[in-house]
Amino acid sequence: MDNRCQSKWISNKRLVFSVLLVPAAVVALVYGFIFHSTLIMVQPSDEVEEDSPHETIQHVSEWLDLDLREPAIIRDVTVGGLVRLESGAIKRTYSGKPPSACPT
Amino acid sequence: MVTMTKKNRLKQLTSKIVPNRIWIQLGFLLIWLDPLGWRFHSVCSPVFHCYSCPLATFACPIGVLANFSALHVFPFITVGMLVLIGILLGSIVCGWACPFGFLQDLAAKVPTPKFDPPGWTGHFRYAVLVGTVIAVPYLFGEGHWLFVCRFCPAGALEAAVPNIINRAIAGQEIAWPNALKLTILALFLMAIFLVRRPWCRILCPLGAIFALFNRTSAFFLRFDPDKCNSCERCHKLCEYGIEPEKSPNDLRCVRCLECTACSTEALTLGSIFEHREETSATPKPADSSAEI
Repeated sequence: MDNRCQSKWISNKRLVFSVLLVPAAVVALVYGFIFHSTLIMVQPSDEVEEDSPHETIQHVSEWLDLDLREPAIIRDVTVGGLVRLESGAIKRTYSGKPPSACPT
Repeated sequence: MVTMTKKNRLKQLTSKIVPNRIWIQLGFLLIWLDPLGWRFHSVCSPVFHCYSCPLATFACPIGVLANFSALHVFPFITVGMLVLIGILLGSIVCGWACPFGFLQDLAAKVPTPKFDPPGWTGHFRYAVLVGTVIAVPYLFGEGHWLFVCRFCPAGALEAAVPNIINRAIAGQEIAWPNALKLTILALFLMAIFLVRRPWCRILCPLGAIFALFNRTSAFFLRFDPDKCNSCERCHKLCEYGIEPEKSPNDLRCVRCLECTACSTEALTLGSIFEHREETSATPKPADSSAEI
């Protein structure tokens, strides 16, 4: 194969990869931003009125399953806010305001 | 003729921007380090920059990949973003936009003796990527000491050090990073004065991902053997021990494009768009350019 043929073949290879991968990447981005979500065990915020302490205990002991979208999951992992339990469930490690820094 | 003009335009652009690469890196730094406190941590930047840094604008793609692996969730946004940027630009991001690479470039300007690691050490990047970003988090979770964020020198330098200083100034109890992280940070700080871009060349998992696209990306480094007079100036221009005329789109290349300063213009920045125009708009010249 002479240089010109080789150059053309390589350029065509690049074009094929671009044609295949650019749409695939765009689809992944759109799916991730709009449709992809995961069930997360979330502890409701424990901000309860001071005159009802029993409510606080009751709230803290409850866990809710929240369908969290991927951008929110990314934001949560940047503060070390999600952990996977042995059961396979994913749990949010904080309630209310997220921590400001990652623990690592 | 149209193609020649387009080609020349890309060539002219390259010759103008390459000498000013440091300013372009500085410009990107202002995007990644946001002093105004804007936080867009729901999306990743395409560069290696710790999201725990007090000034980080975006999330770190490697940290996100590792954490998603630990959670057993597929990171569509991060993978989509990395593939999109990789297939368009390859490792141009490493040479022009990454703040961690910029830091190493600045340190390399200090006139100390420099050593070149053997080329094969570049494969360690894939071990880091597969081992500490994907496998260890997936199998053992984020608590394992080989989880990438637990020893990442970017995290130590950009997040741990500023946080220690902040807490010390505020009179709060200091949370020291683990010994492994501190040791790797100390080694890294020594290495950047003795080796050009040691992290990027030997260990960076993000660079490893982008480098995979170097041979298939839309923009690439083109070598024209007809214009090469074998002066080997490109060997001296390349600071990473690559022989650009043999492997212009090498896996180790960070696409700083310094080698395009070749006086015979045997090495130029090319793109697939240019080639399409060439084949459709002009008669085929006796062009024997190769971009192996």
